Amino acid sequence: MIDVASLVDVKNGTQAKSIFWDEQIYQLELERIFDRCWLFITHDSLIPNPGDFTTAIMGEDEVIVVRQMNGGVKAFLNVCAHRGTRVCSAEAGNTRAFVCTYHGWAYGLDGTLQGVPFENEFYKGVLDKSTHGLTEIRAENYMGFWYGNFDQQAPSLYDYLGEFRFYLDVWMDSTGGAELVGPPSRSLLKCNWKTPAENFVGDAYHVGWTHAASLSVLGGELSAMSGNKMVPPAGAGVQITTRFGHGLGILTDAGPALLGGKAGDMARKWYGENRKKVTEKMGKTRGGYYGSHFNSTVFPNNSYLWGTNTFKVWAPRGPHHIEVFTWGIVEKNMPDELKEAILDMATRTFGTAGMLEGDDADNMESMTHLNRGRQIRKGRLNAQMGLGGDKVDQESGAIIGPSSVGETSYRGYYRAYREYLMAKDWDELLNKDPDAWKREFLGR
Amino acid sequence: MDALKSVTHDIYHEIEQTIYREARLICEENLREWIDTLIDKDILYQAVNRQLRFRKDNRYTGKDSTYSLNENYYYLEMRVKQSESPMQWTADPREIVRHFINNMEVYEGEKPGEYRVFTNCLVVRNRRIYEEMTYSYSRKDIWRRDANGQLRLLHRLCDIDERFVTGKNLNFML
Repeated sequence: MIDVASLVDVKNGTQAKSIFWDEQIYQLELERIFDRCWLFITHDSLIPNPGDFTTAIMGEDEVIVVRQMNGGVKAFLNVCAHRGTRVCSAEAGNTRAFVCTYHGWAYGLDGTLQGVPFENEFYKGVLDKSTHGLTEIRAENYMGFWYGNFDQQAPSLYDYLGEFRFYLDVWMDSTGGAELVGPPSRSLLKCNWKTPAENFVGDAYHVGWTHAASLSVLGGELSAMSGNKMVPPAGAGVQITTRFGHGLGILTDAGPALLGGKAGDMARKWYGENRKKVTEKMGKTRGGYYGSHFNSTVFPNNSYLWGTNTFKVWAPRGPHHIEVFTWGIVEKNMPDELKEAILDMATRTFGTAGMLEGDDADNMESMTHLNRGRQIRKGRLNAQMGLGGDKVDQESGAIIGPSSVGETSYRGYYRAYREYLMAKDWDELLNKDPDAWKREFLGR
Repeated sequence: MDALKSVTHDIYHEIEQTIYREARLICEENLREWIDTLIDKDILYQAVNRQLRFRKDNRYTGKDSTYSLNENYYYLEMRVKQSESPMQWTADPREIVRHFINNMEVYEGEKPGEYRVFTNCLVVRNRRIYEEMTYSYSRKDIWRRDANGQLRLLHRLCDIDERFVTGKNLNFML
């Protein structure tokens, strides 16, 4: 039996190392996190027309996401109701039907079973086609970003994002929306799925050190951090966490990130020109956050960086491996030249041959595989930086650590992680005082 | 494709030696000599990963490929500088990138002194104690002679075979 309660010490900001290794814990995560949480599947910009589809992975389940004839979006398990074969082996496209390659069962865009070869001759009325459609999954979007959910009890995506929307809006809704640019690159990392998720949710600490060499040759605001040559000044940023585990770090005014030269100037100009409008639309706080660098994870395994403009899914493949999906993100209304420069730099830094991607992979793999060792696996992970300094932000309702470098979002991510693993179902998760998580987090 | 015009045995041999030398410099981590002596200042160095689509699908409007590498000389040199930095922890201790290059075809290029070179590449990459990764891809190169008659790489397009890159990343000179 796993002692789930002891895996995370919320008060002291530590976690058991076994969460990166143990098969039993992993199975519990699949059941209580991936079967339950909203998982990123696609974006409007990748399926604009009726019949457009993309495939995705939710937990370890393969799904198809399809634009319907009426403009809506449906998601299905990518599996034939007959003998369990994959019904769609392309990653994206436009189609009128999904036809299984095994016996030719054909499904409509709405998932209904439309055609069964020799139905009358061989089934002789036995087969009930109405109960043999593709298995539909809940799919909802926020600002065009579509997420799927296997749990009928789960709150809406809107409520699941909760306080986090306050921060998402800064780039998703500031100047007329954001778009996702695909197709994604796909690669294997030999690490536990939480190692990149926690890094993106709250680790500004590693940037100057892990990425010292890359930062020393690239340009832009972040390059000054190379080799930990400077301490970010007070007020340079914040760490944020929310009820359902989503979190982010903000490095104020560092939006151009690693864009040097002319591209950096273009980005600075764009953010500068739009800040006033964003402030009018969203208020002073978010006007101030606009044009900053964000590192973030939407719980459990969807991360992004705004500024380096990479958007990721860390799909688990057992406890020790993940599939990395990488897209680019930009504001829709940015000039084409700026979009191109940003996407080009996103590839250069966090694509499959990304200069910073490779640095991170090394850490994520060793912090997973060292746990083969029984003695190492018995230990604890430390996320205590900034402990005691966190407070509730009245404007957003989130909890904020008032430092550009800190581990507030790590602690919030794992507080939520523990709560998901311990709760029997969504009723138990939701049937609480909505501020209880804050008291638990702050130790009051 | 335009008609391919073959080259003399001497030129084939010269390009083959250049390609092998290039692979050796990369394996020996001598990227400075590589970029200084073999790379044209107008280089475009690309690696592409292709999304899987149904053959008959001509209605979907999304892009079907994404770049892993899309570098001009400025950024290619930035990668060289990254590798030269004493703070590049991922290459310390050293890693080994060994190219096995074959199926080489050489043809005259569009302009005099330019050559089109097709090759298949298998790379075996070793790093740390336990990591060995392999990569299979094709290269379409254009090489051209500089003012001194030295062959330099002007364009390289690497087409990565694996859709799902199992070798973790493509953080090496392909």
